[in-house]
Amino acid sequence: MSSAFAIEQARLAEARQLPGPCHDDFLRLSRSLIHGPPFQWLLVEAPDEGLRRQVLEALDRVLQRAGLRSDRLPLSDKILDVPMLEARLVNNARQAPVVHVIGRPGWFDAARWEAFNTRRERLAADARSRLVFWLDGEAIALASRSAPDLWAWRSGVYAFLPAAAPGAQPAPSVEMLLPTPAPSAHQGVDTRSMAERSRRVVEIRAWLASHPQAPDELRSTLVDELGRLLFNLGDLDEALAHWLEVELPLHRRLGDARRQAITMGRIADILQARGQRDEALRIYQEEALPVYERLGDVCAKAITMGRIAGILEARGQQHQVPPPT
Amino acid sequence: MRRYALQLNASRRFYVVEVDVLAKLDRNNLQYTEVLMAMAETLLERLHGDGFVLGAEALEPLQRWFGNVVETQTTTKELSAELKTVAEGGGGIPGLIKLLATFTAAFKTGSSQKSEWRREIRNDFTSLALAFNTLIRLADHLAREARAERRLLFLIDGTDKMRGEDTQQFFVQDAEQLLAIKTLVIYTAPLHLKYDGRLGGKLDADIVLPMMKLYERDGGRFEAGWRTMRCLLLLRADRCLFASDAEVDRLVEFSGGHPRELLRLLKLCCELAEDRIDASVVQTAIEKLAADYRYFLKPADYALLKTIDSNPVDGGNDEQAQELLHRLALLQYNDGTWRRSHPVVRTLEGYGAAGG
Repeated sequence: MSSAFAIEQARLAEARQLPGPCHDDFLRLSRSLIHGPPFQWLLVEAPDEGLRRQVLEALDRVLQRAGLRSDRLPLSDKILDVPMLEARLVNNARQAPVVHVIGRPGWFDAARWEAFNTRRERLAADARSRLVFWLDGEAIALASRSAPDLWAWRSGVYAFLPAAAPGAQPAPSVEMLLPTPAPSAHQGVDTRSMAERSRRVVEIRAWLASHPQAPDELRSTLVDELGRLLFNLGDLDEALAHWLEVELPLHRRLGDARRQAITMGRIADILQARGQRDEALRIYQEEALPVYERLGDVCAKAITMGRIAGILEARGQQHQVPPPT
Repeated sequence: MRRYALQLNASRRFYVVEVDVLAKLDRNNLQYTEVLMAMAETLLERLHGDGFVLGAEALEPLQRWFGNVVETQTTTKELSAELKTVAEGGGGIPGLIKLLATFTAAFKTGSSQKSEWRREIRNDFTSLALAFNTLIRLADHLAREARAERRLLFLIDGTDKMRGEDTQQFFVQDAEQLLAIKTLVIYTAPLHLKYDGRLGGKLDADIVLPMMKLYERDGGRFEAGWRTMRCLLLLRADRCLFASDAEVDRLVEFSGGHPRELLRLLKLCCELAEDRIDASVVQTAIEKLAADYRYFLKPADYALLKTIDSNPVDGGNDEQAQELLHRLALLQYNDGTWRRSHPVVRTLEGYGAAGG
């Protein structure tokens, strides 16, 4: 089992990979599973099969980090009735602390929910596991009406709906996404919690995805913030891909040499951290430093020269460190 | 129920006989006839297990009753052999236990005999009740003698989980038969019977866990209710977890005075909060809880809730109102004197749009 911090990081990282509307409920559900009691009955509205699979796999990765094995129980035609389901649940619960019951539209009708309702206490006694029922909205509504006592026992109801679904949250407007007065790259500390930053990543991604035609001038601040957030959250692969594939081309289109140099510098920082010193050195020397010299940005030049010196020193080439000008 | 049984036994005032009808019988097709058989079987098992010796006068009425059944009934080979032994006065307590166990097993497995046995018990219920009451009276006497001040008390678990029509039959139509057994019995019953109206006066004291009134009917605050709910909340979550007292009060407010709803809101807050429980966390928790109600509330429900809110005393007691009470969309105070919709329901767009 990983440390609490590693589990938390994994939780946030997995949540960020999901479509925006799924972020918050994924965090809720994963927290409830990891920290809640051993017996829980949790309902998940996840009608879209592809999205459900994506969320399930992300959840299982987090659970694995937390040392919780999960099992899956699809409600197929082989499960003929509620007594059989109960027996399977009891059996699965013996083997795994989390049991995902994968629903099928129409399996749970009013009669079956009523029958399930009468079994709740025995389930709590014999199937002592976190029972996660992945259903459609209609089945959940039917449960609330036909299994009222079991419904009263619910540990939580969660929804993972496709972005285009009526119940899904709309992408925030640009006005809502006006960047918070976050500190610049050279000063200050971002005081937002990991979860707040993670949520911000999701917000920005949602807005960018739903406004593909937005002009680069409008997008650039958000794109810049997104890259920094990914880096600060430790998502180095994502940050690198973002800088190479999204931010750098954007600044090139805008003809913003300074922002290009800054982005190249950040790329080099990651490469250096990963031991790719040659490429990092080339970027600092050939792509970043000349720009700062041309623009007369003394501060940025000094920082870049410092990084160059660091690499050369690490290579035992202290004598090649350029003198200060 | 298990906890209650232990506490009642430990009080040394009651000799508790727990009957789990779900284990012994068929919950999907259950009537008082087989529940009585299960009660008799469990009582005898308990007495026998505790080493009590019941004399002939305690067992004979039941043996005689079964003897009459032998004469009037055709039956399976297994039952007829058991019946014959018991009817002839043989077997003592173990014999009776064995016979009753065979009965309850037959009831559970859906034996074709079930209907015949039910009819037989119903037709001759008065004699059976007399026989059972004799057994109970003497068992009661034994319990008092052996363990001073102990009265016989049955705890019947599982009768709240019968099918809807069986529940009606059991607690309403057959209530007189239940009351014919002269002993203390605690039955579990589904909550909607409390609001049904048809149950009123038939069975003795019905106890429902309390709601905490936060407001008087005229809208004035009821401070004792607020204090109690705050205390309940702060016993579960330390004050330092909340950004301010305002968050504590808001959770209490939106619980409507229902302890379980308060704890559900608290759980939601714990799922949502990253650091402390602040105003935005509480607001989201309220929205999430309200979303649960959206699953089952229909436009007509919202309209009724709005109507009741405008006139809390006259809420009516039809099936719709009972359903809303059972599912906590409607909360009642002062033992049902007046009602008001759940506060989180009032935040839903359906409620806002409803006429009423």
